[in-house]
Amino acid sequence: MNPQNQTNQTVITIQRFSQLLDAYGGNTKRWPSQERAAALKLLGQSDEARRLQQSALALDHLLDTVKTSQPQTRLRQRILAQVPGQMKPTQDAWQWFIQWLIGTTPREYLLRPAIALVIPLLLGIVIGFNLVSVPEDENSWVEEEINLLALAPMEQLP
Amino acid sequence: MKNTSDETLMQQIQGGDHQAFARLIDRHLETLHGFAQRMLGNPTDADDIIQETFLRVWQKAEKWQPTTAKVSTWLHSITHNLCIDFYRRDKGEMVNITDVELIDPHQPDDSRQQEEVAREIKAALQQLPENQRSAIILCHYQDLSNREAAQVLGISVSALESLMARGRRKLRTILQAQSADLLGEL
Repeated sequence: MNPQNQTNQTVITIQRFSQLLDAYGGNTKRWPSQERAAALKLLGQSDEARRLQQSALALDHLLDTVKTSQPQTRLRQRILAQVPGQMKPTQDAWQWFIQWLIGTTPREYLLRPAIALVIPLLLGIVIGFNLVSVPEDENSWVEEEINLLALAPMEQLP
Repeated sequence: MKNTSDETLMQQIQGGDHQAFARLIDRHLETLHGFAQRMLGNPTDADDIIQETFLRVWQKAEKWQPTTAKVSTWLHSITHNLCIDFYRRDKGEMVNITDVELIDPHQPDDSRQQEEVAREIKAALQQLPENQRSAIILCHYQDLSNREAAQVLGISVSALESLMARGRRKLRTILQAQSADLLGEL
């Protein structure tokens, strides 16, 4: 900014006015607060200043057509969840489970359901093995009992 | 409680207050997310940037000093730095907005035309050098004052003005080349 044009002064040149529009556009609320009053004064007095402002406003209006989408609510939960020792976002156990199952990152979208499928499968395999081995254990226990019973009378012989 | 200033919230966060952190998120999430979207051109990458921004706020809270910057300026600085890092790292893989945003053929003509215009402006913004784009986004969309925007970019106010003037000039050139109808008035 050219110090000569800075205003705590009450007058602004058309050249500086044009520089302001080039940089900040035509919307007066975006003009620097320290020069706004002087620029508005010139705007009220000069046709050339008004013409320049209209041209700058045309680009402003085009820029204003660009909208952004709202952040998703789960982004807030993601942020809170990553902070160590954080309080959990309020949700019941079922919501927590569903959220965990779905995951919160693209990688988790794939991994979490896969893990959820693999865990019951592994549990089934473990339980299956145990069920098969139970009769064997029972048989060996029964055989041991029979042997003991068979030996008992012999020990009692005189 | 609702009127608690950002500065007070930051002091509470420095003391490990999770509730204050949640309130700071609620207060700034949308604004910063919009900033990241405009910087990067799409909301998905913006999610990651904003998540990282707030993690850094929590981790580096003690570094914020009320005398050096307003909280909103500090938050913009963190987001801006992350966007620049992201942009430089993944520049070769940036998503072309014009490729991914399809226009719904069932929309009324006026609405479709407006979306077409917005798409061209977005694409034009993405063509600007990153410092010019940052300057325009900070002042035009984020409503930061010239001093705050200059502080985010780590430059003087006169350098900021120069960047914005060059950026806006380049935008006009790009848009005029793309569509004479669109910018007949420029």
